Amino acid sequence: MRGTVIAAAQILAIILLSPLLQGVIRKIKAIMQGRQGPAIWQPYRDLRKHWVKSTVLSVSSSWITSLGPYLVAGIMACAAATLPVATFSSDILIAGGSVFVLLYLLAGARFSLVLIGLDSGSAFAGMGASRDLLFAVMAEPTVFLALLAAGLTATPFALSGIGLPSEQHLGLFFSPQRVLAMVALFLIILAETGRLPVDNPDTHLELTMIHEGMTLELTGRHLALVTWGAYIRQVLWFTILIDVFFPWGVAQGTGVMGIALGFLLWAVKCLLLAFIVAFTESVSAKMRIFMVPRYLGFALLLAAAALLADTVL
Amino acid sequence: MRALHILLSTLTGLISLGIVALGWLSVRHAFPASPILDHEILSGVPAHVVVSLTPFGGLFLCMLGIVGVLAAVYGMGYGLQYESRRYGVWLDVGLLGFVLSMAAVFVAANVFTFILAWELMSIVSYMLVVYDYHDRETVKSGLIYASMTQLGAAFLLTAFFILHAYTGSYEFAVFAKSAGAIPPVTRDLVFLSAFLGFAAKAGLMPFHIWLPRAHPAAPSHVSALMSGVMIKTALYGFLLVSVLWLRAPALWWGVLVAGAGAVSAFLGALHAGQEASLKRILAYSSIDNMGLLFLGAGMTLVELALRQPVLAGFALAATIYQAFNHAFFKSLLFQGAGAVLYATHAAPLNRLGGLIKTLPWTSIFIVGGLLSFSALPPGGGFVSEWMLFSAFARIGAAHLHSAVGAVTMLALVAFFATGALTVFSALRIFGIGFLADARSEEAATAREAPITMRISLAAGLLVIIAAGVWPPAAVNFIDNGLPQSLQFHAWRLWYGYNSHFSMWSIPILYTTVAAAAVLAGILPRLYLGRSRVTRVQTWTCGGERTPSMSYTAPGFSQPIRRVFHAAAIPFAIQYLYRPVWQLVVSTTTIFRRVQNGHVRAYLLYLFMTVLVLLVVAR
Repeated sequence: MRGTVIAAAQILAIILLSPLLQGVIRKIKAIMQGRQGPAIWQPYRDLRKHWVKSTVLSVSSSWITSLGPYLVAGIMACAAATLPVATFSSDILIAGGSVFVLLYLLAGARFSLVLIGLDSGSAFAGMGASRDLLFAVMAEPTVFLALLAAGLTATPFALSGIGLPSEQHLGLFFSPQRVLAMVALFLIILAETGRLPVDNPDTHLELTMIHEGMTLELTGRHLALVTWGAYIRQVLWFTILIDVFFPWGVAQGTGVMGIALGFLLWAVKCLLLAFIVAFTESVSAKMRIFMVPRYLGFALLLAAAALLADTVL
Repeated sequence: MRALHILLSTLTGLISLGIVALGWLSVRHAFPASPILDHEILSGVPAHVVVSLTPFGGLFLCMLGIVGVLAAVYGMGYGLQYESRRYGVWLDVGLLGFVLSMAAVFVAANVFTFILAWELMSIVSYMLVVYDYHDRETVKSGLIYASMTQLGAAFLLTAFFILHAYTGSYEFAVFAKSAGAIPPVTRDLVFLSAFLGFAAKAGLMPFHIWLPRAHPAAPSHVSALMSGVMIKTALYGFLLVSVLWLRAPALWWGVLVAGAGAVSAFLGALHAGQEASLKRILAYSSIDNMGLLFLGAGMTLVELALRQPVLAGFALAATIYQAFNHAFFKSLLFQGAGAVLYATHAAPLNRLGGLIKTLPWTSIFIVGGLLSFSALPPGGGFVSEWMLFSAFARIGAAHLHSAVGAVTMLALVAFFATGALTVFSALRIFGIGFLADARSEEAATAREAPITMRISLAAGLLVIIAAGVWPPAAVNFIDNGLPQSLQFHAWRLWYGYNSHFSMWSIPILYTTVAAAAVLAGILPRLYLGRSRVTRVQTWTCGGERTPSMSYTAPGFSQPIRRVFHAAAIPFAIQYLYRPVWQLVVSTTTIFRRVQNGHVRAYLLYLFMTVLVLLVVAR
């Protein structure tokens, strides 16, 4: 029973706090750019605005657009249920917290999103989709290699097993291969969450859109669900990085105090990561689209080096 | 004639059902190990027909039977296109022969029977490929197919000949018992010739050139059988030789096979994403999937070489599971492509579009097949790729500190890059071909295919989902069919062995996604009511919209083509086939001087022959 409550709390924490994280990142960016910026609650207000608005559908669209956003939301909620947030106890996670399931659920969400985009026949959606898929080809192997290098090998490929080395000495924990893997994963996270230098989340300039291009034709509730899904995806990626490389404070069992501390520290770590992401975004310029494969290839190389570092050192 | 067509299709369907039953029973060890048929055709020469039902062959019989039933049902409707050619009665006869010859491959128990069945299968499938012989391209495709398959058979005969030389027998049972004792270098020879022979049939690169030509040329349900089952006979044969007979392989065998598989998988998927017509995309994706299967087989061999039978068994079961799923979704997709061709008579993706409105049923079936194709839930492809990944990752984890770990790493990179490329081609097929607006007159006026074709598609979708929704059943079944020494006792996977592969993972996962999606739909409706829907044109920056404004298939694949252009160079044609062909041509030009057409020259040949004969036979 307690397990179910904790599982529900973890899912709800990810779903409900994800817009806040987006608001915080935007606020930090605004401050760094010398603007005052909107309040950190702005994403919630945007979502509410989308919720109450009526739906405008393209005449070219089909049931894909009508059902797809709900599927995206469902997949994102389910993906949230496969990640350890406050505790590494894997019994309460779907599929035991298998990384494969998590990443293929995210791939499923991408699949739905691309179909929704193409359903309207908008050329911007096609452009965004084809670029997004190109990045996926290079990003997916990198993620798995980085996770393998980071020590996922010891356990049945679930993030829940990775917390154990936290007992180790700090120098041992941040061994060369782990640092390399961490950098690789961070680079991928910037790409997967649609941040600079890969994608610009703030622009609707036609030729640079990737994620925004696919949602261009969506309105009302559909837009709200898909946007929220993107916020959740961002938190999921942050949580993966936290679970793998900064597992301190995540509870091992299901004790109440441990869980409470786990949630608190998770929130703090997410905020810190948000600061780092906002910082990197503020100081980097957007890349040309065909420079991105080099950036992703670099990440892949780092991940491979991380795996090999173990053999060499 | 129409009655005959229906009758023959029904017969094929019933026989396929019988094949499923036979396969099922043999996996359940219902038959004795000794041959059930041993018939001598000619005395004095080794021309025995020996047939036995083994559990391992039974697995593949099941696969064949299921795809066969679907093809037979589909064929009933498909034959209506050939009204002028007696409703394709000869096509039905060919289909029946094709199913029977493939079944014979899986039950053959000596070299003679195997080669007989193998060649029959090749000949019948060649005839089916050139069924639409009015098209010159088709005839050419058939010719390339026939020559490649004969090249492969030559290597197979070599392998069997060496096996015979060392065991003194043609019986498979004897091979299984004593092939393990063949001296090292000869073993390698047997392995290499078997690998080359079966790789040619499997369409592994660089022996793939026939596949993207032959599969699209054949009628759609024949393509389904060819892509779904026929190329799996190569996997069956390869596993038979390398895993069941030779046993204790060398490490480099596994690395070689895995490497060839990884290259085929990645390049196949890359090319699949660039092709313009539906059936060619599917054909290239067959190369990619055969690559994945050989990657799995290679990792099995690696584990066998390192004497890890449980890991090897797990990898082997994952490979066979993936083979099943590929058979099912590829059959559905080829049949779906046939239904689209039937409805529109237009193959290139750029001439389709908007089919989700004109062909609603076909679209649903195809999107289901594409989900399994891209290894996404709820198809079987998701579960089998999960298992394959787990197998690779376990192998990687067990050998992280040695060169095997690096091999596994490369295997995983190929695996995931292929996976992402497959998702890309699936989205390209559906997004460009089926969504948005019709790009041509044919697509706009398309009408659904005959009911039997749609029944077959619906049944195919059910099979795909059934294969994935309750994996314990499928994996336990496959585990039963593995050789005794490799059974990894699948039940350990489902009970407590580890938490992430529990028996209920998959059903819980699917239920959660569905429940969350329904909640996301219902909750806002309860609190805010239905939202008002207005329909307008897609935004085109203010201009008048035309269907051609949607993204095109070449445009969609342009970024990937540009980034990976180095990998798309036709290496096989340029560096392998063309030099060989030029060698053949240049040697024949030398010999052509003999045939110069002058009567005097021929008289001279006659005179010299007589002289030589007189000298020799004096």
